[in-house]
Amino acid sequence: MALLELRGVRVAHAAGTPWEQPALDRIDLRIEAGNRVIIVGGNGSGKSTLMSVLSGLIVPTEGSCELDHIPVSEQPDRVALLLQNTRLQLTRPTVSEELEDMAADASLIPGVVAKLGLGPLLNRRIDELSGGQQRRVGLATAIIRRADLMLLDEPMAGLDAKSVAGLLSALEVVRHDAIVVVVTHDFETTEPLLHQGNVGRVIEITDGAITEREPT
Amino acid sequence: MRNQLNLLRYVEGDSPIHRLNPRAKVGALVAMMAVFSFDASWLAVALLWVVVLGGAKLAGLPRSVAPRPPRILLITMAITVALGWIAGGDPYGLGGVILQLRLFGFTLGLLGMSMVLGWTTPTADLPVAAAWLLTPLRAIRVPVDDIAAGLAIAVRALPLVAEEFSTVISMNRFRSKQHKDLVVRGMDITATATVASVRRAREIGEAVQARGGAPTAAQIAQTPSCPNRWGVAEVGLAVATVGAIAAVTAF
Repeated sequence: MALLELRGVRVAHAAGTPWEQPALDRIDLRIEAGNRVIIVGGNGSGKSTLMSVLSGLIVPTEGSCELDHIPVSEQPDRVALLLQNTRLQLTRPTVSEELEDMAADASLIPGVVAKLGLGPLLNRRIDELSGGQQRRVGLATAIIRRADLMLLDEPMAGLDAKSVAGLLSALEVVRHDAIVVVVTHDFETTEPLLHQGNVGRVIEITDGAITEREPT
Repeated sequence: MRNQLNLLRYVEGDSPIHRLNPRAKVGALVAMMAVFSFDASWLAVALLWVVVLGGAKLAGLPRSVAPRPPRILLITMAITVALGWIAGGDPYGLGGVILQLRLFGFTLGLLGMSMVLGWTTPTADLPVAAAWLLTPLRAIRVPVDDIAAGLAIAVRALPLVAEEFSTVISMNRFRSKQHKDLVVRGMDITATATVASVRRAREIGEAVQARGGAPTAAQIAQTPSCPNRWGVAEVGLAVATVGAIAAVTAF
């Protein structure tokens, strides 16, 4: 059972240089297996930096971010990340090659492909896909990694209502004991996710500091 | 972070180097590159470093602006020096090593000078300065307007493209370890980063078109910070200084 813990996390970009810019300020957070967490914040609030810390892409300037008492940055195999600019993470030429490259177990691919309606896209080149289609492929790769920690950065941004419904439906196939964290500035669209796990939590981030609020 | 190469990031200040006309700084840099490329002697390398370190000191730049050299650079340098040692040469079989070290001193000196220029000059002033310096080339039909517009766009796009490259590379850590073909992986990363850069360039191009097309060098040159007699004098002085240094090293 995974346990994600942030203790006294402080992040300053370009730390120790004249361009130092504080981004996160002493964040303490504990997220248990099966939790579904939505992190809400405006532009420049620090939510993308927090996502980078949670995924291990950024090591905190101070404090620690650990998954089961080991730094997340040392366990990339246990993390799945969906970027807002999904194109940057899809590096294989075609959809099927991308899925095969990312799958923890190839037998998982057909089910996820069916759930996300990716069948007709399997032989298409990544560059031929629309932004929404790339997002679906990115989500599929995140799901088939069967990671303990799944992080989604603005997964609904720029998608139409049908695509949003499809994405939310696809998230139902994520392991129930996995931790799912979604960063968004649009809480309403993402809210149904809170009911998919054992506990739904909403965290607000403002100027690099977090406060937890009751889910509506 | 100290391991980032903070090129073209302005450090606030009011030193003589900060106040120096951007055209003079760019002109001096270009002149030094040109002159020392013909005569990269030890004396030239030493003078170059005096200019770099003296400029940084005069500009009041803190030590923390200097990035830590990336490990790949140090490894490459070590391999190159080793090859130079194998090559031998006078004196005492160290000719190759000495040549390599002089080359490193020269290259890193020029890089250092470019960095000092970037840290003491607002980014938006650099294309303006370059356009002004290129203006005489119109006489031989060099497309100065296009070059100036391209430079202006490139300077704005550079941080975005660098960030996207960095993201593509860092996302590689989440890929399954069973696929370890480094060549294929390298090609995939390069292709993805290139596609992302091309897309970014297209977006910037569309934004420029939406605002009425690329600015011409003449339009850029009409900005308040552009040529006047003092500007010409400053550039002349900078180039003359470089010429004097070249003369000292040559004779």
